[in-house]
Amino acid sequence: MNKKTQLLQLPAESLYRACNLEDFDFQTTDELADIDLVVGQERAIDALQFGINIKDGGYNIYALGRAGTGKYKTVHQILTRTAADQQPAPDWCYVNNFSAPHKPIALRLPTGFGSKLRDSMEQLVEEISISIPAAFESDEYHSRLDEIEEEIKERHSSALDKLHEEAKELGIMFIKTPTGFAFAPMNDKEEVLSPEDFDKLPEDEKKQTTQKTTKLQRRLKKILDQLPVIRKKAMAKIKALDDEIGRSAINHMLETIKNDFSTLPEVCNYLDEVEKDILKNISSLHSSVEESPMALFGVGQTSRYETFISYSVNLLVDNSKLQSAPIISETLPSHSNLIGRCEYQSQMGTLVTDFTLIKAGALHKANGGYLILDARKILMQPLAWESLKRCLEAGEIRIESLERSLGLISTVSLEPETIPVDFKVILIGDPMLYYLMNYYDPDFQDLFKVAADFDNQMDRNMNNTQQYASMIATLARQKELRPLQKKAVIRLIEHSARLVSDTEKLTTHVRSISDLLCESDHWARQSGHETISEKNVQQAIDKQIYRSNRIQQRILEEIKRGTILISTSGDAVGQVNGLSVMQLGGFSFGQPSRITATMRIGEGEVLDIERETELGGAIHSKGVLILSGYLRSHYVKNNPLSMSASIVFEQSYGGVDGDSASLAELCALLSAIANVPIRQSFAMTGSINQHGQVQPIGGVNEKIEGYFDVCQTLGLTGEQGVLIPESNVKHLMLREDIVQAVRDGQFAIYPVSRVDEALELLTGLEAGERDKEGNFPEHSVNARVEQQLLEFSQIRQNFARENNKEAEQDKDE
Amino acid sequence: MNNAVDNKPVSRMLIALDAMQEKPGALETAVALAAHRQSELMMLFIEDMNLVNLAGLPFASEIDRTSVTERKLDSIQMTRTFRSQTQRLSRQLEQMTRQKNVPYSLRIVRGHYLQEALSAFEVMDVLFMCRTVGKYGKRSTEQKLSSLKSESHYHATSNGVWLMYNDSPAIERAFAVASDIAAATQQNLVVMIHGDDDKVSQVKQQISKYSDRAIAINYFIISPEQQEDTVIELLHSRLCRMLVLPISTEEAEQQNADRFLERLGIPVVVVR
Repeated sequence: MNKKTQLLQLPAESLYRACNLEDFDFQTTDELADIDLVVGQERAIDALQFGINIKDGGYNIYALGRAGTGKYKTVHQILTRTAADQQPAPDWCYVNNFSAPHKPIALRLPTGFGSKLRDSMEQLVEEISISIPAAFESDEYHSRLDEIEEEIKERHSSALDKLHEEAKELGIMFIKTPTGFAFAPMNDKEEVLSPEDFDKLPEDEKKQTTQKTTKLQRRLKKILDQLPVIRKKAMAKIKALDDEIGRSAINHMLETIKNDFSTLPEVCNYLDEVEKDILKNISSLHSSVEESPMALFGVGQTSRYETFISYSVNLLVDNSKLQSAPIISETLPSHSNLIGRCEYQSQMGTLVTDFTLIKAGALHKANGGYLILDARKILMQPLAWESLKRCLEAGEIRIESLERSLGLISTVSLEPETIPVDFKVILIGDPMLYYLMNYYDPDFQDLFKVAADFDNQMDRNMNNTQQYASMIATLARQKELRPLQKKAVIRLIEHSARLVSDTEKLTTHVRSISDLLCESDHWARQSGHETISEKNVQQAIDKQIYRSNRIQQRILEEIKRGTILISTSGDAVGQVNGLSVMQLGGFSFGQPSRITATMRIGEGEVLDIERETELGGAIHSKGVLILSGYLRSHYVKNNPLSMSASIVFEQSYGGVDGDSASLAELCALLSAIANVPIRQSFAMTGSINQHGQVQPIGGVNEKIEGYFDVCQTLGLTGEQGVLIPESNVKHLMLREDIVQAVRDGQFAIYPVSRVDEALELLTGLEAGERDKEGNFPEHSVNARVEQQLLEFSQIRQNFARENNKEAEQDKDE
Repeated sequence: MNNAVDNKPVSRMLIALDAMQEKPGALETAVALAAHRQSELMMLFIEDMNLVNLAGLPFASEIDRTSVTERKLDSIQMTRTFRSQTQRLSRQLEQMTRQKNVPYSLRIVRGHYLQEALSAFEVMDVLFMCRTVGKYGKRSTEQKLSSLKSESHYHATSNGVWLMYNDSPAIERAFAVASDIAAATQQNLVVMIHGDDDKVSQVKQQISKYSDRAIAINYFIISPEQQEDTVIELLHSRLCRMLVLPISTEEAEQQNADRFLERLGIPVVVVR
């Protein structure tokens, strides 16, 4: 390597940004205080606080961010803090609607009053189940009932007695027949006169007897006609008596309850209805109904049970134990889990329900507070999303089964009174889902106006680094892990930067750090340490890689065995070592790929073989087209490009995308055109634009490490290195062994910002810049490329001229 | 039940029915008693002469109890009614006696109920007399009104089988029969005594050796001055379901049975 090349390479210090030990004023994490919220999410936290505090409708929140960035925890913490300053939510009950039992009434009660009402009604039922029968079995009641009975008896019997006596005086007997009553003349023995004896009577007497009988029958009819009237009056009197006795039995209990709820007019109205219903059904309440065998099957349990059940209270939401506004997280956000359901009981082959079988959903429980839902989960549940939107739009919760809402069934069922919505929804999901919903669902924009965007990374500055250390300490304590030594914390912070491939950033993917903490603790325990050391952290990192890098090791093995052709020494024309990143599960690694280019005279196309075989993605194709544009504009601006070239990733059969290899592809092509060999000890990565500027790429650490591992496998020569875009230098957080190799002069990293810089490093020749006359320096790489392309252009022109001449000759002939 | 109580076995029982019978309650009780006593049961169906004569009169008609409409009566219709009632009661009797393995016979006579019943009773040991509805159909009206009362009230005050204690020689057998009926129908037995506490003690002593511990026996004391009307009202208000009367051959006692039967509208069991 010449001196110039040496000057261009990055020093070891640039390859890894370590933390300064002096910046951390603790020995172990035991000395660090807990922090409440995740760090580095100021934007998201600000949005959450705004969304939670704004009272207008439609300002529900979508917390978007990559999984593992602490969205749920942050949301929950902020909500808990906010809810603590808010009053607990009211209780909600469903009670029977006596005029329309299939439409239960919803009652809103102050916190704690729901259970109170329920208990009061239970007690009422218990008491009236004793007091009412007792009142109706009392002597007073029966005496008064007897009086009514006696009165009827007297009225009825006295009339009949009188008629009987009158008939007797007239010599007529009052007879009972199997189906009624009759009158007939009687003899001295008070027996009915036989027809023969009647015939013997004088005509006058017969006539008189007939008249008397007829008259008596008319009177009897009148008396019997009165019986229903008497009976009806008796029933009315008995009803009034029942009302009076019933009222006396229940009044004091109901008044007590009314006093307890005197400030709640809805409850008082309900209690009035209860009173009316009790009095209306007083007879079934006090009659002893024998248990029928059917009751064993749950069918038609005693009428008393059925009546009493209607006075119970279904405490739908009981917030009596809450000290603050509710925060509900529904992990299975199905339709019925969200909006509630009416359950059914099976009785003798039929399904029956009543208001006591209404069950609350998450929306009910969150009313007055907050509801946290997973966006993906709710979208996966049939019609759950639609149901949620419907409730939010309508501002009320309507309990309805899916089948009914879809019109699949039309059996009579409950239609509970709707409950007004008073809660905020926080959806948690990934960004892609947010953007899709935002784009495709017009309702989404109206209902979820606040986006709490959780970032994947945060600035690596002094303040944040300190906070990060505190976050690590908090995590360790929450998970009951060993305390970490200072260097272990520092190692984690540095690894955090490596996870986002940026020396100036730290990852906010808390889950990764948390997992690493747990694994570090494990290795510390295995070693019998009381604290987690830097070594334990490194061991955890190494073990994570080791568990995942089987494929990578297999590839290295195949490279070593020569199955996969990679050269790390020597030089070749039209061939470079490109670098790509392979992602398998959660593990990424870099690997070199041989990129080759060939060219010949042609009509100007640069054939991307990956694209032609549909193995190349659109971005890769774009990269190839860009390098074609560079070629034309840089070398043959005033001439047609008379070259055909083809570029390929050798031994790549799995698909390629991205433009991070466009610099390597261009260098391979220029090498082929200029017939200048390229050093195979180098690998390169970088994207170019049409002006020849090298643009940054992703996965720079993995790519460098991947090539280093290959070089190490095949043998480090001290000549090997990697060319990377200069703008990627700030992303370098390389492994310690690579840093050491660079320090030892065994490996090198070269930042490049222009194609020419890369060409000079790769070829060892001057790339060349145009002088005032527009000429490249002689023997420079660019001069050679231009010369070759002009030659192709000339050849082609000559070829075309000859063809035209022959054509004209043929024409003349 | 104690067979050993009787010094005379009950071998012949008579149940006198007429066209007024609606419910088979008394018939069931009679069959049960006959089965227990291994007695022969005779059903005497009495075609009431009053009804026969009534139907034969040219202007005969009745007022329907329920619809209060007037309906003409004639002999053919009345005969038909008798026949259908007889057949129905006969079927019931046959079914019940077959189940209990009781020998039975059926006789149809025409005449006045009480006379025919008592006449047939002369060769019998026990007579069941029942006319479901009393004189004015009181029972049906009162039963309807009573249904307005609570069931518990009804149970609390009703005492099923009542025995009218007297000094008749048939008292012991009457007591045995009443006990058997009470046990068979799972009702209480109430012994109504005209007298004072001393009389009660005497009665208790007399019948104690015959009492069956399986049934509850209550004693109801009526002062000797109580009028018959009062006694009947009392029995009525206590919802007495069946009255057992020990009877001699004296006509006065037989008339007693008639009055009870007529005014109470419940089965009366006469024991000789």
